Amino acid sequence: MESKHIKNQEEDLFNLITYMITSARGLYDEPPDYGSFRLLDATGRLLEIMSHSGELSPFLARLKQEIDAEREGSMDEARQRQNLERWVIELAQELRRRVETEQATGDRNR
Amino acid sequence: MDTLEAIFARRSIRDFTPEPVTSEALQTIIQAAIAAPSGSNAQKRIFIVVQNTRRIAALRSLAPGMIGLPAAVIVICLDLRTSPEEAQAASDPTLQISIGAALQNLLLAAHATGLGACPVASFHTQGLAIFLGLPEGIIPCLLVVLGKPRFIPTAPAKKPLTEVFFQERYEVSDGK
Repeated sequence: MESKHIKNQEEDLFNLITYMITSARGLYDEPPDYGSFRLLDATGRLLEIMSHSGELSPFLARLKQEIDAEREGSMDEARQRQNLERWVIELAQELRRRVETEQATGDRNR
Repeated sequence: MDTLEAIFARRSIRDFTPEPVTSEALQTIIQAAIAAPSGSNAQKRIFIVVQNTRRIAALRSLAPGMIGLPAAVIVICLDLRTSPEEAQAASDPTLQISIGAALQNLLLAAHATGLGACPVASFHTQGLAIFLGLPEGIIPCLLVVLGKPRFIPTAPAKKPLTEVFFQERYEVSDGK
């Protein structure tokens, strides 16, 4: 069961690697703003793989939901830029929370 | 379904339910694509349908334009095996137009059978050809993702008639 799960995850990651390399090649011939969307799509695909292998944290689950909505809607540069700006700020806040929680736990364990 | 009703109600669908596409629906859709016009009735088109979920996931990695996971993917290819100069033939605009005509028929037929579809042009041609086992001379031109729509998006804005429609001669409102 466990080895099947690892095999599936390896296949999912292999597909993601193929996607990222194919995108990198394709972007030489595509409009410049596609680059931003491809990275966002890659993030969505990575979150998809992570969600297959276990529960995402509430923060990442919400991010996945929002990125999926952005990916599946019609392309709107202004909206996407606004969402990306907000996600970077939220990720920075979450990053700080995680590091500080870890440090506090470490300090207590010392 | 009325033809004009289908034309105006069709939307580009990128988000699908996992419900499979029936072989009857697929046959209707491909028959509609075959019925599309082509220069000199050459019909240099081939349609490859992929429905295996594992193969669709792999295909999606070679086609960055494929956003969601559809129940089926139709690869529309140009068959240039009988053309003397393959490279020259690929740039023949009538062949590209015949692909476009087949695409539109296919999209409308999908809509008429209660399915949703969307063309995808971002993919690696050679990578796709290798993955699908295409022989030399069969060129993938477009992918169409297909399935039961998860939701119907609102219609995107279209240019008004006054901006693009002229009678007898080109004339803009300020008289130029």
